[in-house]
Amino acid sequence: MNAQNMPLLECEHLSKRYTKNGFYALYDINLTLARGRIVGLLGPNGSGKSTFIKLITGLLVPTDGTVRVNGVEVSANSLETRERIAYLPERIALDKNQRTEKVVDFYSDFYPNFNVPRAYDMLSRLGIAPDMKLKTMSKGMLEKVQLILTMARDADLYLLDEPIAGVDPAARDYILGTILSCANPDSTILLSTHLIYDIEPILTDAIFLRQGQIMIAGDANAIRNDKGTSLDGLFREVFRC
Amino acid sequence: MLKLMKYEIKSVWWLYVTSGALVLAMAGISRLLCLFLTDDPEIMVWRILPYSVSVGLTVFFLLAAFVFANVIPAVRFYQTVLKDQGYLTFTLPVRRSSVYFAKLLTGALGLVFTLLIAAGGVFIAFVGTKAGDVIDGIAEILSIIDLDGIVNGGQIALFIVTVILALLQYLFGTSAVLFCSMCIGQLASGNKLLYSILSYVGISTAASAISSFFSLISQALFIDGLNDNAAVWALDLTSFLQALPPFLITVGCVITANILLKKHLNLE
Repeated sequence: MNAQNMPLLECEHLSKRYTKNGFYALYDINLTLARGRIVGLLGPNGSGKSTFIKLITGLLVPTDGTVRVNGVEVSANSLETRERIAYLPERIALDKNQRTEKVVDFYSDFYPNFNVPRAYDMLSRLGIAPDMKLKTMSKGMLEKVQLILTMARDADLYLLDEPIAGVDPAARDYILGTILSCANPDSTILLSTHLIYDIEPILTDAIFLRQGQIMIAGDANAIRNDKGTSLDGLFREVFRC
Repeated sequence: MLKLMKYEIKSVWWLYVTSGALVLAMAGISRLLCLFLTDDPEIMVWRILPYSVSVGLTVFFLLAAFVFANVIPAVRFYQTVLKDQGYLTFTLPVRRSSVYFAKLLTGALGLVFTLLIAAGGVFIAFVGTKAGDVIDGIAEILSIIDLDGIVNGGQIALFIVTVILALLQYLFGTSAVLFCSMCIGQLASGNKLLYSILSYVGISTAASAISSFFSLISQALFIDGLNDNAAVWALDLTSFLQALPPFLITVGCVITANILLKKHLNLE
């Protein structure tokens, strides 16, 4: 099969059970994602969004099932898939003792697809000087730097775990603008959130997760037409307490 | 892996240099104060006090540098592998074993550096001084050991293997056990630090018990006297058997940690 025609992400019977309580954080997920999509991974806290993303990155080992990116199975040592995936964790994973330029050097050293001019361009638009130490930055600023470093890669699959959680509305606009400006027709962006209202306009697809299982998945417009409500309205209806 | 080591060294070099600089500075001060020592009892009383304090501090900084050299790799491992930075570390397109060995080797380099600094510090502070008489005395005692007899009378290959095992154990042993303990601790769903400490205590206790057991057994079996060639050969074998268990435990820790990182990573 031609690489362009091949699904970008394939999950088959993907399950993850934590030893903690013996319960499944994710159960029997079957999913295929094509290229060039912006997919919202939607669900309340504890629905398995982060677990799903960590399984795709290889940070967690599935209890059952497989994940394939570009037809290559994800495992602890699948370097090829890690080169193709750009992951934004929900917490700050950068060494805060470093200066911005050193972190950019680090990324460009390890990721062949890291676009240094794009990174510096986005950083300068935020007013971040290359010699600025990360530990002098606010949490919101650090989140933006981490997003820039993730989106400055020419990856096939962007996995953004709660990119707009805990930031003010202006910062949300910046983050969504950055995501859109970096999206290209051959890559897919999977972003998890429970703040549907803010991201609904940019989504092409949506996946609703509940207690580790997919409730609804498909084209965002088709879901809206089918259910007769917005994704945000549907979310409030489905996950009403 | 070299790239990983480069960034690892970049992150920690200043810690080793600072600790080394403190050792050398204190050693220099000791040496300087030593120059003012005199045989005149009245003046001596006032000059020996700061000298004694400086010698005490030099020894303290020396010991602290070694403790520090073992703690730095462990802290780095915890921060960059098992805490938040692990999300970045383990999504880099590098093998997990490369991450592990880069940290282990960097820790060993730090120990070698500390060893060289310690040797320099001892030389500056004590060699050729009255305090240096103690070192001269130790050297004299060591010179009594019939190294030729041990090597020639025993098995040279066994002797060399023993020395290599001991060296590898010194360079990698502490870090390997600490890394392994932390990897075991991260399997727990809560109180990971506590479980890491318990794992460390458990592994260390087991290592000490096994080493002591082998030491006692080998001594009981092989050493009756030290005057004939057979006994010298037995001494070599005893040393080998004493060096082997800690080395094997280190190897076991390396393998266990790599398996856990590869198959059971549990970043929250």
